[in-house]
Amino acid sequence: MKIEASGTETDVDVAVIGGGVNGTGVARDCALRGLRVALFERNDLAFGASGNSSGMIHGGPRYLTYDPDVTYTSCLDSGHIQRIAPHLLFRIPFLTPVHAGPLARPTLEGYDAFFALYDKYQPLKRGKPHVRLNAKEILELEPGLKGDIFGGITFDEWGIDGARLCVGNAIDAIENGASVRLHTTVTQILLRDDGRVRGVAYRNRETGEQGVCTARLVINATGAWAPITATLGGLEAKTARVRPGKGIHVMFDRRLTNYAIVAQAIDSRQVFLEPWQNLTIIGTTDDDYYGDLDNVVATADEVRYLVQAVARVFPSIREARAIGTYAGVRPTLYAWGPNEDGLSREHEIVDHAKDGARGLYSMIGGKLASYRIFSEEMTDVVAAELGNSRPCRTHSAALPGGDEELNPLGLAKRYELEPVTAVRLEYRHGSRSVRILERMKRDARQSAIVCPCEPVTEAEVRYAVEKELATSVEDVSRRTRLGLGACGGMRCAAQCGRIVAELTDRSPAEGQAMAAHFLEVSAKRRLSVLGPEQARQEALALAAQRAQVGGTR
Amino acid sequence: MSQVLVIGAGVAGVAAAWAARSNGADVVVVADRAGASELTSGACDLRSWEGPGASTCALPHGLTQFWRAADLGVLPDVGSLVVTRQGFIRPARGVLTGILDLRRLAGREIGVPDLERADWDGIGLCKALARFPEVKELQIRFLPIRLPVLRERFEERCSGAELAGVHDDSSRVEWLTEKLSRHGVEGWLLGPWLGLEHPATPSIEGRLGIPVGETLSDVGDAAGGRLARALERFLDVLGVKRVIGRVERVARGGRRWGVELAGGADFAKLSADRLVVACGGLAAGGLVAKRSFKGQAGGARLSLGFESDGFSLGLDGHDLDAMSSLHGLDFEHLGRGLLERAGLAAGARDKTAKEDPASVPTRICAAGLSAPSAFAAGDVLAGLERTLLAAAYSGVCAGTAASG
Repeated sequence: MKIEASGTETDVDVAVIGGGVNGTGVARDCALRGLRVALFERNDLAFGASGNSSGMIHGGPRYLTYDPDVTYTSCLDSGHIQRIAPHLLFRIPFLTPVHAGPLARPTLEGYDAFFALYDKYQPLKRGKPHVRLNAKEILELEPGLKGDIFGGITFDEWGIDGARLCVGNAIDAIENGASVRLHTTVTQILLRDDGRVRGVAYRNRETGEQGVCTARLVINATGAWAPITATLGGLEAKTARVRPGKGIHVMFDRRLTNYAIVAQAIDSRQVFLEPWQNLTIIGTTDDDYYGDLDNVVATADEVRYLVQAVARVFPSIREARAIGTYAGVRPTLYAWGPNEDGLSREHEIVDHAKDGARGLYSMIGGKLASYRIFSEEMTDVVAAELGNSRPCRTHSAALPGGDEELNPLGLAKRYELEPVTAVRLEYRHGSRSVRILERMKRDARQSAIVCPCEPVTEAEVRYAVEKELATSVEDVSRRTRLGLGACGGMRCAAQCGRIVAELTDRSPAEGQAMAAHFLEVSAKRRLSVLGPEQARQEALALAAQRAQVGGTR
Repeated sequence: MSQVLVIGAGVAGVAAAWAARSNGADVVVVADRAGASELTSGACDLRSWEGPGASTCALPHGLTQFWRAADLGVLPDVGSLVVTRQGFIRPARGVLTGILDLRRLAGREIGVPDLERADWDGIGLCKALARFPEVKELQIRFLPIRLPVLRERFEERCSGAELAGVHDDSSRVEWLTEKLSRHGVEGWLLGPWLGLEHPATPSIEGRLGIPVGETLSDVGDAAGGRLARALERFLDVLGVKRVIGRVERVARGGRRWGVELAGGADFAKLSADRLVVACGGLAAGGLVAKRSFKGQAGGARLSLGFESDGFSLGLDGHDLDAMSSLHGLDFEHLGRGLLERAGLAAGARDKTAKEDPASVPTRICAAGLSAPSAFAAGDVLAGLERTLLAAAYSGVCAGTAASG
């Protein structure tokens, strides 16, 4: 490892650690302001909380009663994100049923008044005003709802694919001069004798390649990993303390409702069922987490807790086909005392100068919906320190594919595709879907559907590897949702493994192992939801996997 | 003459019927819908193919005899090398008729059709195969060749099994053979499209005089359908009576086993003095995961596809009956292996099978005791490797024991 004597000339201005939404967001902002940036991610983009969230950019109605400014900025930022990535957002209307009982009327009145207030902020994010409904109207909208319903209200939120958001930010950062290294863990945050940061030492976890990247400033944007990252600079873990809260979601094979439905869990926490992309998702839990952050898996207990809660208002969820789970760990702001739900979803910037590391900052807390404003605040700090006075443009400059809204059905006709293929492709890539469609036009073989559930074409798999930094089947899956449908990768993993191995110069056996690994991991994520009906399908998937690519025993 | 009733007509059930018939027994087979045999890829393994030596292990005598009698495929001593449709190569103990064994192709130039099907990429396949060390070692060259294998527009989009069905027509096979003969290659690798009733490959090979065959099938492709037809025809050759129907109940009355079928039709009461249960594991639907605990949704336990008085399900030598959670089986901790290992527990080897030291135990255990004259074969057996040849061989053992 080479170590320079003086830090006057550095490789980059800012080294960002972490490839989640805050890391990629701050890298993009810095790059757009003309700063030289390098980003290091230990796993893959959106590997942690960003890629395992409820997939919503919501306006923060829960802050309304005690901190309306937060609701204002949340709604404003939701509007900004819609402007820069219109293709990635989809409307999720929510429905909160109120059950009959002595408190039903006052509860409904309360909701009505509360959401009337929230309506004031809805125009900021193109949201529709809430509607108060009686029992009959609710059952007309969602006949699957059960129980003695008194009435309810609807309100409007926006859904998003968190992984695509991270990829968009990372790609835009790269196109503005940043370098992004995935599967590369920072092994040390280097400090000079005078306590000023000098850069980071890193190691690629796949190739073993090591190196040093000198930087004038270092940003720790590693979410729940933040305290661990702080120790890499010799600081105490508590200087970047978070209170990690595990949240799980269960995926079902189709859209079961038109509305997202709010339900109450046994401990009176609010949980929900939401139609999300082409699935239904139920979520979420919030429990203090002390385990391995690289390996977070939903357990059967957590699944049952959610299903039990949702089944009270939507009983047929028990008959629906669960196809998997995912889990992430929120980097909630640290506090001793309150229970998990009572913790602040706010974010803060820690300047580690007070801990003896000048030029090192940690981004702590936050949520998917606030990533842009958080990134802007962080970039303002580093830009000021570096003497850069260019204005922030992340609220107006489009993310990749967000510059122009295309009509997917028109694309389907023009490129002779199944409409669903075009719609899903356009959702993920916006105007850049044309680049993938052009590949398919040039080379008909690339029109082959690799993953029929989603669907994903060979051209998109290749695009993910060549243009979006994917190096494994799992990476491709994160970017395209390949293998996350009803068949659990049974029909696509092997084919995807072959393509990825070919494009990354690895042997066919490695491609095969990659596919087997992906199938093992997704099987592990299904085990906690296996009911009687799923067991048979699982046995079949297992048999198909053994025949095609083998196990990873 | 002993009477043997076999439940299930997959490879295990048919092997049992063959073995019992060979011993002079009177055999009836009751079977319902498709099972694991119809989902086969076409590769034949005894032990899991990833294990050391799995592709060349010695085969028990009874198994090779059955395989030859039923004429299902070849099991060469050197083992086989097969290709998946996605372009992976893997070893196998043998292949079903129709599947191309790369070991036959040493030093040859092999044509791979390049055609317009969404599930087929001839050029990509050639590129992928060329990268395997086995292919370099055998000096095989794969050549993509633009070939009009598809005649109608719908053939570009229909399922692989449908396209295979198209090639049951002999005039269509002749047409294809003529197209294949125009290129000077020394062999052909095609997709799983060559016949659903019968494999078309023997007639094509006969005409061209070079090796021709398919990649492995995916779930639901041609190889499984062809195996099912071949097994059906073999039962006819054996003169075994076939009853179509789903067994709902198995019970012992007097010294005989009786089964009741769904629908209570004319066949409602079938009985025999020996019983072979070969109705499949969880993937085949012979074992089913059921909800239990009345009114307590979410509970799950495994049971046989029919009600039975005497059989108990086992897993690694333990009974599966008792559940310590209201929610039933804990898949999370038992792991996916549970789905493969669970089944009927089998007791000691039968005396009559002593001459074959490799024979597997097939006598069903019930409540710790051997159920009298009841045997199990195939995936329904707990702990058996879930492979085609293991299923067939356990069928041979069960049929031999049941008719002894």
